[in-house]
Amino acid sequence: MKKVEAIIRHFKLEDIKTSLIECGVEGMTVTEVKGFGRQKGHTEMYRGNEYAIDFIPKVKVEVVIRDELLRPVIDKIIERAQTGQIGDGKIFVTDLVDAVRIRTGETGVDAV
Amino acid sequence: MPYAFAPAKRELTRFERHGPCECLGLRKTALRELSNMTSTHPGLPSYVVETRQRWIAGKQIIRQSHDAGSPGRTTVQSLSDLLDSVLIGLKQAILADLDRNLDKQTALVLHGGCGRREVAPFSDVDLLMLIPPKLEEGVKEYARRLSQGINDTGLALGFSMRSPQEACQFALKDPLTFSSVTESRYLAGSFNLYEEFLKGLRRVSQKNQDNLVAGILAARRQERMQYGETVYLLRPNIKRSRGALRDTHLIRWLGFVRFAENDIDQLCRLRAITSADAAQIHASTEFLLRLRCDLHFHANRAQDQLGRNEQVRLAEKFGYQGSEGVLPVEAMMQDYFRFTSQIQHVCDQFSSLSSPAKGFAGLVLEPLFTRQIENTFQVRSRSVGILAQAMERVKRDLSQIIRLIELAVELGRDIDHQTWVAIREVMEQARFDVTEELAQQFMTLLGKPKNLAKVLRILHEMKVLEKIVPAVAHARGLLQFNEYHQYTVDEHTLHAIEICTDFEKDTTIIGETYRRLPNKGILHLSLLLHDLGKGFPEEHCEVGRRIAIETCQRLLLSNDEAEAVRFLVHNHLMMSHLAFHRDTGNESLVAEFAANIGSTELLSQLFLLTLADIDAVGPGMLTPWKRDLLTSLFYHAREELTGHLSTEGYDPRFQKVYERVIEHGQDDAEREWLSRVVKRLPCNYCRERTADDIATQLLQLRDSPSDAVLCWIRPLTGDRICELVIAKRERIRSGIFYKVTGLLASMGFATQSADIKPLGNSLIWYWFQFEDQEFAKTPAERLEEVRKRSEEIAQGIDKEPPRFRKQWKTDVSLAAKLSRPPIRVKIDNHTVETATIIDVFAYNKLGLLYTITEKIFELGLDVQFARISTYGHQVFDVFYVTDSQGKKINNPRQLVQIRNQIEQVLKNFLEEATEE
Repeated sequence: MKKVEAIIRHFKLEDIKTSLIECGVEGMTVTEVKGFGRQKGHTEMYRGNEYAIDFIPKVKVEVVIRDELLRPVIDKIIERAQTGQIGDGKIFVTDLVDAVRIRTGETGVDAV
Repeated sequence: MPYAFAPAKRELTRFERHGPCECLGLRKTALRELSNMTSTHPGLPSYVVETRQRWIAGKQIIRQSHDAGSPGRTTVQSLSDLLDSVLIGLKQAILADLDRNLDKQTALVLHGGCGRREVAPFSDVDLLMLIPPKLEEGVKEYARRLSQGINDTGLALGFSMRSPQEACQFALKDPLTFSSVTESRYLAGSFNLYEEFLKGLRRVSQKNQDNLVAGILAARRQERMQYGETVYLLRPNIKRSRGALRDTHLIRWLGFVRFAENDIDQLCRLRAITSADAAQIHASTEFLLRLRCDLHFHANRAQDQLGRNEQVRLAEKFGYQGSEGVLPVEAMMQDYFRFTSQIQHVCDQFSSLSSPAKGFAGLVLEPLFTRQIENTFQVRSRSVGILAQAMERVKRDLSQIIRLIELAVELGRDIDHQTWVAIREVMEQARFDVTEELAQQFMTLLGKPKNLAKVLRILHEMKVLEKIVPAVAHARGLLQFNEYHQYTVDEHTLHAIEICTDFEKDTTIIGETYRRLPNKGILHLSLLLHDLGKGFPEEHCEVGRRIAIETCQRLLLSNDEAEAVRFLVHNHLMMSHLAFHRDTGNESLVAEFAANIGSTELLSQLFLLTLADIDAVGPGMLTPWKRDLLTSLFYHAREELTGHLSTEGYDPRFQKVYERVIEHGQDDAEREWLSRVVKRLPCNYCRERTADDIATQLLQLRDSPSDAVLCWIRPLTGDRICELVIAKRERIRSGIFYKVTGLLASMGFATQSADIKPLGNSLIWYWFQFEDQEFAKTPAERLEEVRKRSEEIAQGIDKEPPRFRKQWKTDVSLAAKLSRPPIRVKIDNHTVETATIIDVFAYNKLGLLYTITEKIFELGLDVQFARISTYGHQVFDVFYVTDSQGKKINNPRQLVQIRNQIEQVLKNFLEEATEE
């Protein structure tokens, strides 16, 4: 099992949600987050003027998937989230030790 | 005050006389079946097992009766009777084993809900065993077996054993215990002991009235803090939330302390509460008791939380039908909110009446603090009411009622109860028309942030608000059955207004925007109306739009005001939708949004409305994340509407640039001149240029003859944008701006922005930025031609009107015509203090800008700054104009004239274009 965390532009969420469901992802957690990456988050250019922004609003999507879904999920996120501009976001992948469905007590892949 | 409380020896209940089987119609075979159903308990005495069976069987029968529709009051009383019989049976069985005389030495007293005869299926049993001061060993064993027996029967027991004196002293120390024992009821044993206890309780109660009332009220307040301070909770606790059963108990407890009586009907006879209030309490209590019993029966445990699933189940069970646009569950909860609001109001009034007076001096001096206002209102130390002689007249006069409420809120007093009841009665029956005076008064009220939310809340509670805005009636207690909203529509609306008026104290851009808003009444009215379209089958923004139109007509608003309200209500979700679901860094999207809104005033109103609306959904809904996205969209759209002119005049951010320019001066006089002039240059110009460039140009200008015209032109790096600077001393208006825009258009350039700044001593600085529409890189000779002809225009040599190139036009299809953005001209006189802003929205055509600017010149206006934007077909131009004296235009008639004339010339020009 893998946990995929994607930090994306907030307005890309609907697109990504739809395509991940098509991919076979059965659940996701979405969080409103703020932060910065390589762009340092300090300024934003708009029609030539600069605005000070400490942290840029983004959305964090978390999904837990079977190993074989990892590649299609990442491909889909990139396909939908990419604009080619700075600030498109990041994807983090971690190995997951276990998962438990609280209602039934099922564990492992069955709980996902 | 004589005590009216006269306890009588209780009579045997039906359960005691006939037993549960006969009484409840349960056949003995059924009892045996039930006995088999319950597990056997070899360790339990047989009388406990039998008692348990009686309790379960009796409860089963009562449940059947409840399911068949018996009233809540009947159910709780039947359960109370059953409980009495079970306890007495248990007591008799225990005493048969011990000493029967123990019954005469002790008294069993039920208190709390059991004392009140309001026993829910899984209520606790609150039992007090009164004992003589000298405790005998046999009594201890009796108490031990009794409490154990009750527990083993399956009842949750709260048991205490005290002498009458101890019980009274203990009650005095703890308000919760005191309130519970005010509901005491004799069950069995020594009646003398019970009477002794009751007399003692009355005595301590009378002696400590003020402390007890304060303690009871504080305890209830604390409970409400935990279970909800508002009636309008979407998942209320049916016992403990605001307006729930506990508030009816509170009236009883306070009644016991102040009037020595806790029965509602007795309090009514003592005139402590009105008969109408008593009737309302009975009706509301009945509704709540029935709900509570069902919650307990269905959950098979003590369940007082009215959750969402239970709401749906109960609405179906109780046969709620709903109506078009209103779900059955929403209809049921509307009833719930109606009943609990009634309880809340009566409870608040009674609490206020019972609250500790300001001592003896307060009572004696009360008449001195009572005064009359306008021969209509009477202001007392705690309340404001209508004078008796004015009551008939004023209770039918909405204008005077608003005045009364404003007065009460301003003075921090309640509305006198009699006045409240009288007004509510009239509001239930009468119909009202909104007169011009009333409409004006209401809009004045809406325009003042201070106390507005409080006044509107009272107007709503008294049902006055719906006489002015009829659509409010439909939203009363209207549940929004979704996972998002946490309040009913009316509570959400009032809360949103509360949040919005609190922006007054906000220190961020939100507060600044709110404080600068000239007509806050429009924003507050829009907030009041924004969700009133809910609860109908049609989309609520669309229904809201119609409600807004009707309300604005009713309130006699001007066309502009009505248009703003209609727009805000209809589009109240527009900004949040864009901010949260679209890329707000996309220029054309922002421009389209700004063009849709059309003015910074309306944008500010929509921004504030959106923030208040989201915040009023529930605590924590307006996260910093959402606020940042909305604020960012607001900034971007505002810049579109103000033409990116973010600062006016001197900008401290350019201090270093100014200093370096000034250093170029050779002597003090030159440095002083540079210092004065450089700070008047357009900020964006200072950003684009080096200090050396600026100093060179300015010094050249200083040294030129008075009739000279200086003209510089250069391509800007990176794209097809070029800039043109013209500096000239002008004693009379020469129309350089519109003539140069005409020249640029005729030569195939699109003007993007223009800054016109007076530098002092009649020196005018024109700065244009324009884009070449014909060459990817503008040839030098082409630029030079622009410079030369611009110089000629400025010198007055070139007087020819521009000739625009003819363009081949294909037939414009109907679809293309319909998709064109509408032609609109908006005047914004509140964003900047030094100029009037004209926003022009139209579709593009060669020569359009020249037409507008020529008209502006003809109208005698000077352009200080202009920003020209084109997004596809959409043209969005912003002009900062002043009169010929450099002053903002403040005459409303002139402003209308300017708008109409520019709009007309645009229509003529563009319609000609269509016909080509």
